[in-house]
Amino acid sequence: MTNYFAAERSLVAGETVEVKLRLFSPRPDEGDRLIVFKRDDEGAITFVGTSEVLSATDRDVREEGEVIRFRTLSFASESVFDEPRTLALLAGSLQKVYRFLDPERHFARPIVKLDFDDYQAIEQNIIATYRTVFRYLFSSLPLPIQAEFVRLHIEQYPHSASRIVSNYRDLAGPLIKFVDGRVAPMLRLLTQVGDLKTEELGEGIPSVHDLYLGTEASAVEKTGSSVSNIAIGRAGIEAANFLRRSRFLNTDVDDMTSLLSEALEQLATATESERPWNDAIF
Amino acid sequence: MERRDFLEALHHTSRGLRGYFTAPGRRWLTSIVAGHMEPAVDGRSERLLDIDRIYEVLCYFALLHELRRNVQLIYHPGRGTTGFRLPYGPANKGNFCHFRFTSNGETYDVCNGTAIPVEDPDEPKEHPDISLQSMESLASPDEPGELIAVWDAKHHHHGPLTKPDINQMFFWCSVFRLMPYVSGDILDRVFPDHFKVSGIITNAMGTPPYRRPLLKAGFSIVVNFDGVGSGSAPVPSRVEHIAHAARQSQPEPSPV
Repeated sequence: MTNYFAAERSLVAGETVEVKLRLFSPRPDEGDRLIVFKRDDEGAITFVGTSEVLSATDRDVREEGEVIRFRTLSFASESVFDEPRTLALLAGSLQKVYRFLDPERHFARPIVKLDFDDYQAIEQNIIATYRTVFRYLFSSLPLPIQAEFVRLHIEQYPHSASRIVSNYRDLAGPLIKFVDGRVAPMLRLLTQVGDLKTEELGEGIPSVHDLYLGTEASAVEKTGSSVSNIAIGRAGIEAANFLRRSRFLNTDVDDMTSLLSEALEQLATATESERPWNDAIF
Repeated sequence: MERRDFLEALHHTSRGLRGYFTAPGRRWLTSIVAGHMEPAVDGRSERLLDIDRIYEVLCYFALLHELRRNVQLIYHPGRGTTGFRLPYGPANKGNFCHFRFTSNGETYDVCNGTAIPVEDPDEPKEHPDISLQSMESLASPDEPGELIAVWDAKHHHHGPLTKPDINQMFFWCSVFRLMPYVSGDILDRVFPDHFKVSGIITNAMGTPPYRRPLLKAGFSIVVNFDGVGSGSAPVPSRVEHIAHAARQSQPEPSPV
């Protein structure tokens, strides 16, 4: 049976390479196929071609009472892809990946096992658009906001009783609308609050930094009150500072809105049916 | 956009968004966005903090910034150490801050979200988003004054205003006795254009299709209001409201 792997180009480029086989090490064997990848200075991964294991020879070494196996591998010369494809592009299309925003963590070792579907996805550049859009966006949200989305859309989760997500067709669109309808406008309005010059309204009026929303109970500071004041002014200032200072989208929340509507258009033209997935909800 | 460029851009953007939420001190910001604020303990209110509330706060301050050009605003803090505080559910005036001004020797309060009694004292109070109250007859700034005008701030993410959106204002116009519009009244003299009549203030776009019901009820709709001061003129206009009221008070011509 053929097995599949991804291997770093520097490994494959040489004539032979010797790898130490630890307990859970990948064990490429003669006839196994490889995706070749390269890693740049920032650690970003690009898939550049394929290869094959031509031969695998083992030797055992006794060290401190233990037997350690070394395997010498030789590879076919690399068959280069017409177009190299980045992991950032393909991460959402690989079953192996669950750290969608740091997918290089799944390719940290020089040789990594792949299942056949993942190998084929990389070799043939098969993009799973629904899963990719959903998972990239979902992974960007903190857990309480993810939980809120799941709570509101539990009906759209196929097989939610088994807590496995196999299909993203009914999830990707709703998530975009959730982010666009809740997160983006909230950030925009909070930014406007942060920009209020309340101290200019008159004498003795505090700056917006000290503006709160609260309840009657928090007003009279009842002990045992479970509700505290919301520092809406500070939230607003933070939102304004973030949007001004960060490289996030380079401009402002309106750009996020247009990226999200681009996402909806991309989904509308995503006709491919994806393979069934085996993902946890979170 | 090419799918591949789009997905790489989405990847990059998502990483940035993640970094934003995980920065230190962002926990309550996350809660605000997630909508996980607990309901008010007084039991009456289960209004959680949402986008609408933030928009209401913006409209309140937009009005105050315009008012400031014509009058001097006096700040009345709410009780407690965080006096610069507005309610996030229906609440009573005294616990929260508001702003007071004087014009032609009369005193007025501009409040956000606090209780106003309706015409029938046995019925529950209402809590309009923004209210203008005359304080002449009252000694205490903590009690609601005589109601002059109200505004309902409505945040809409997509599309024009719908009927459910404007029902609240119809209700308030029926349970409150608002001051009739007269040339030279306080709204005319001192208030900015978008607030020259009681009305709905919304970011939604599109001309409201209703005219006669609004004239009968005595309020207008301001659309495209961005929360900081720019928006369309009220529809119907103040002039139309005054003309309508004048027609109503004329006796019906008797059939010849």
